[in-house]
Amino acid sequence: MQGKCLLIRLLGEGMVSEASLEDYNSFAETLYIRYSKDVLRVSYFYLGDLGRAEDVMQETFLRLILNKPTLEEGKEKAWLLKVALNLCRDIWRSGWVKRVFIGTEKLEMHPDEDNPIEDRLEKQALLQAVHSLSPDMRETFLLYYYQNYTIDEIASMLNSTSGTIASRLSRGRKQLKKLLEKGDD
Amino acid sequence: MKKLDKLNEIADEMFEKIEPSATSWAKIVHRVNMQNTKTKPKISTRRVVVFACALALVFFSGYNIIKNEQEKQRQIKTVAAGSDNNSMAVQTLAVAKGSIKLSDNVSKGRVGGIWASGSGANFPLIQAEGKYYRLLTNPSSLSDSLLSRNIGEVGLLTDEPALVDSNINIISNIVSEGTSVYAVKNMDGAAVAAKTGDTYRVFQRVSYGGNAIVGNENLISTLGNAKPVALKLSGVGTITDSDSIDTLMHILSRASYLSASSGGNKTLLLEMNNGISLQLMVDDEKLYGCGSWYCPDFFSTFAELIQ
Repeated sequence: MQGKCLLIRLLGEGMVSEASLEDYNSFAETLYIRYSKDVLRVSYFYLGDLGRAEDVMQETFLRLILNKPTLEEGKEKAWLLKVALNLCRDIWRSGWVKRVFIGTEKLEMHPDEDNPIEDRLEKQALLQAVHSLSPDMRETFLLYYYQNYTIDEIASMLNSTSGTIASRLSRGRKQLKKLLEKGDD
Repeated sequence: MKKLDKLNEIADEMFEKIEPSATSWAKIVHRVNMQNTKTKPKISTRRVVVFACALALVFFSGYNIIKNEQEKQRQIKTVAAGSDNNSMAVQTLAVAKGSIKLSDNVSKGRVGGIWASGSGANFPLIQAEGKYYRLLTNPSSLSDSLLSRNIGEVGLLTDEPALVDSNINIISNIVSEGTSVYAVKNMDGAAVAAKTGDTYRVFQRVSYGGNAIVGNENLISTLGNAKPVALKLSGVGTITDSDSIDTLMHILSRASYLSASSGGNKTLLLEMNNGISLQLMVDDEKLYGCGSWYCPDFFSTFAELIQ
């Protein structure tokens, strides 16, 4: 059964179009232009390795094009981040982490040199502390504080419950506070 | 820790140079083309027939199960509790004697508040347009100048407002039938006013009977558009600085809705610039008013700003 599959509508900035299967690549490219940076940065924030983060980002969009999922309007980014975080999780749990990462990698950051140094150091410490949280807490923090999703949305993206997500944020905040206070010593 | 709320700005600033490589999209398209040129395995006819038979079996079995269940199902009629006899409810406070008491105190165990209490869960309330509002002890009389649109008249006075037929637009367990209910100026969806006795009283938006927010409302939607001039958190202190208030209200706008439940053992009073105060119950990380809301950043930021 071939034929057109009119499932996707892209709204915003005056663009409203219905995409057929043949046009899916064009739709995917639009999403790439719009969200690839976010997907890359979230992946990098998670993994701490730019090369791996780039791989995750490319694999995410590859899956978008190959699987052609039906995406709910306004939820395209959530789908992309969900796929990316699944990939990040798999990488993190694989032997790669144990071989490459522990004790050596730090997040590469490029702070604004015009900011006072105390401010820059504080910001760097915060990002490093978030990066050092456990994977579950880290992805929850990335989605809540970095990407501004609600608890319900995060629960849906991570196939979890709102209570669990709220609990992770609570525990994560306590852990962050300890990490940051320890860093002040 | 107060910078945690600005993590998105900080991360974007610190990761400014983290961008997809110029060849990323081309690599993705190349991999797609590689995948598409692989030959797909043939599906045998035998497999198709077996699958079709299995599908038919599942379908007809399921159909029979559903059909049998539907025949067994009974209709349960719901009956609105409370009396709809017009002769019963004519005067204010015409509900069963002793079931509603106006009090300056909130329920036992909670620290200082302005929500009027009642008997058990039946505090004095109005249900209007699918939203629930609870009587406030202050102000004891609201000026006419703060009345906004006329929402309608109370269609039913009953002591069981949660069970009433939704075809009636406005019901109450304290305001008499035929009394007009108004939105409060700049607080539409957050507060209503109606006469109990000779004066207009204010009712604040709350959750009741498993009902809380409607549609895409956030916490701020349930507090209205009047600007707070003071925020008083019991056991912590009061903030009156307008910049600090703006910061805290912005944080509240990001509170995550949890459920229609109530709770909390302390109070947050929001004193508005129209003279009306609203109340939320709170605990260490959540706020309770029209639903329960998760917002730990509010409390940590409040504590930092009060120092």
